[in-house]
Amino acid sequence: MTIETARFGEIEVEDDRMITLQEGLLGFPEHRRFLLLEHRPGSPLKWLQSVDQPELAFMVVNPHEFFLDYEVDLGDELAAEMGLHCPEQAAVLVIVSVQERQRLTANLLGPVVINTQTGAGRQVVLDSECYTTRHLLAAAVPQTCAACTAA
Amino acid sequence: MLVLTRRVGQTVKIGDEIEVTVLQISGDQVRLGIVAPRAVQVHRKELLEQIARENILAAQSAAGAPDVEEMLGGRPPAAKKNPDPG
Repeated sequence: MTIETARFGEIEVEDDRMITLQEGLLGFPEHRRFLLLEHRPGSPLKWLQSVDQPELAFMVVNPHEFFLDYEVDLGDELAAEMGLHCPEQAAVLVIVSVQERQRLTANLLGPVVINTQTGAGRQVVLDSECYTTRHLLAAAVPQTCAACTAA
Repeated sequence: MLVLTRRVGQTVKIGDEIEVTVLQISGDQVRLGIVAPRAVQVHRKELLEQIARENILAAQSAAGAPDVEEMLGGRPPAAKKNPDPG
């Protein structure tokens, strides 16, 4: 199918690459169909591009390339609901914002988890004191969590 | 909005499967115990709002960003550990 995007123009994609977020993203409940597009070959940056709205795209990264200790605990119920039986079936993405002075931050509290076989995904809400919605994206170093080390 | 007065230890039932119990009151803080089916997502509202706001900022800020890769400081991509979807 052919889709229209503001950043990449018109692109041709296979139907089976479609990502479906049944509940949308928080704040964007009505947008459900997305594609994962490379920013540039070899770049850690990717785009979660809306299929239905050309201007809507979220910059995303694989958190494990930047935050070595990052963990997403889905819980058994949610994992089963998403048809995930083992971690290898899941792709985890975190959404990147551009802050003042062009700093890039990643939202580690609301990762997007995708079943790589079905393309079904959702934004997971982590109620964790270890993470915030704005972690500076920098070279991959182990993150020490004040809450965890204090405990 | 339905308004109920409850004491510590008392419970409100919502439907057949959800129970909210007042566990403790101290000053302006109330500790609630919530029993719900695991499929029901229970979250603090401000956390959901915070993530929604960050999503909106992400969509707006990324759309206007000219060359996002330069903001990473030319960092070479690390080796991939997880497969990408699709």
